[in-house]
Amino acid sequence: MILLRNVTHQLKARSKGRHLLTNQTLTIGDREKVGIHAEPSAGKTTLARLLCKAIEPTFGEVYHTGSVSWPMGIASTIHGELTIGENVTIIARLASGFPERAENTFWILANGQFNPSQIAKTLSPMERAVMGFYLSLMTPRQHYIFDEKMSVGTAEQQALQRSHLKRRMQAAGMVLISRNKRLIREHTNRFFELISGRLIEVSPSEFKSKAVQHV
Amino acid sequence: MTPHAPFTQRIGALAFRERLTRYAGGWLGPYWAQITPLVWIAFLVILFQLLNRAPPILTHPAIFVATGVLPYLLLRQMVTSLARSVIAHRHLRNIQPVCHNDILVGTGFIEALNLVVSVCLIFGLLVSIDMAPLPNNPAAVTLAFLQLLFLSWGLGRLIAIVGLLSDSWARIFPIVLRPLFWISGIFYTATELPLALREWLSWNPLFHITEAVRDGYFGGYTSPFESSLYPTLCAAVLFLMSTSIETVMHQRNAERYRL
Repeated sequence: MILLRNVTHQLKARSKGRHLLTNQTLTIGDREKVGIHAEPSAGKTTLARLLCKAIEPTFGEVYHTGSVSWPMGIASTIHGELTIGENVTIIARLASGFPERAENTFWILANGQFNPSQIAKTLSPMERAVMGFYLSLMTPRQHYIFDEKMSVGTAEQQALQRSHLKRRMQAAGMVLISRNKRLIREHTNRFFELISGRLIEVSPSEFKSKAVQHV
Repeated sequence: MTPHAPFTQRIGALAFRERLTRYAGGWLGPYWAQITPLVWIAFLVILFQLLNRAPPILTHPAIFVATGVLPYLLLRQMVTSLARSVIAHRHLRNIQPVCHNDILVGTGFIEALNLVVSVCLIFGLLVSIDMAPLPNNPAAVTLAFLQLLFLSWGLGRLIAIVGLLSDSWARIFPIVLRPLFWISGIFYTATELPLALREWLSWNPLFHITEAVRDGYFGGYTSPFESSLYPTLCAAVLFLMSTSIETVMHQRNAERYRL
């Protein structure tokens, strides 16, 4: 379960101190599939980091019962000077109580797409993004947090990732934060709009039919 | 479901990453931590001889300089490494439960290993070529270096956290630390100083450590500084200051780097 209790979060000074969230309380139950629709530059990435507790809210608390993923597909954890194998080993040891199992999972998911001795800075941006996605998938979690994307890479790679995700999602919940309503409708069944610092829950029919007006 | 990685495992992984990335490039990479103090000691010994300066303790200038310059260099190295690593590895904080403290402890661990290797290597080298006697009181020398470790970690932690808040502060700290080279007893002992100056310099915890190292190493030298707890107390205060600033920084979302 992910619980936000009276969470207020102020964005940085360059956002003129705008509030991403203002005194919001929300419970996301186990195996629940939640979609949050937000306009561009509304703070989707910051919200994803708040939900996975990579950053702390200005006020209020975020609780997890069970494990929650980091925002899926983040590639900034990969160090360019290290080999792919070294990066995988280090991230597995940071992310999982069973690092060898996590490492094996990565190599199974990667299915020969990566050479362990290749230096990470020689990867193309797309290869890096795909590697980031597999790194986020290497440890099973109770909740997965998606920031805009559900899969990355070529059509073939995306199909493979979706099939892995489908299996994972049978026993896990997810939060998808996106500006793409169609993507949200396709993958989730509980809908929110992020408007003026508030998370407003809307019914499936409302979510489909119209944009919720600013309050 | 997968449990989180335990603390020791995370520290091991972060230390491994720090070691691989800091010393990347060139076959000399891993040895720079030991080469730097050796070059410094050689340079200062030559300077002593050019200036016809005799050490105030009856011993070879090389070991006199080594007992002074090693604490200073190791403190600077720790401070620099912590300030750099907390920024360089910040993206790993996306992986729960990795936090600033993990990164700082991981880097501190590597620096502590460097300290042990540098001290053993340099003292061992000087003893083996008859430039130094064996330490008179190895336990006292070890205790002094342990205090150095606490002090440099506390100071480094504070500077690293402040560096996350403000670029100006991050640049000011190395300038403020520069005079430590002159006021930490690298070229002289506390007994050589006029009493008034000694009183002033006794506020410098690094000077206490340098004196404690020499007191333990040289049988014929007794430091006038009696309080062995002072550097540890300073380390504790610096540590508490860093954690308080870190808490406020999180609450106000004031970190200047994005994850």
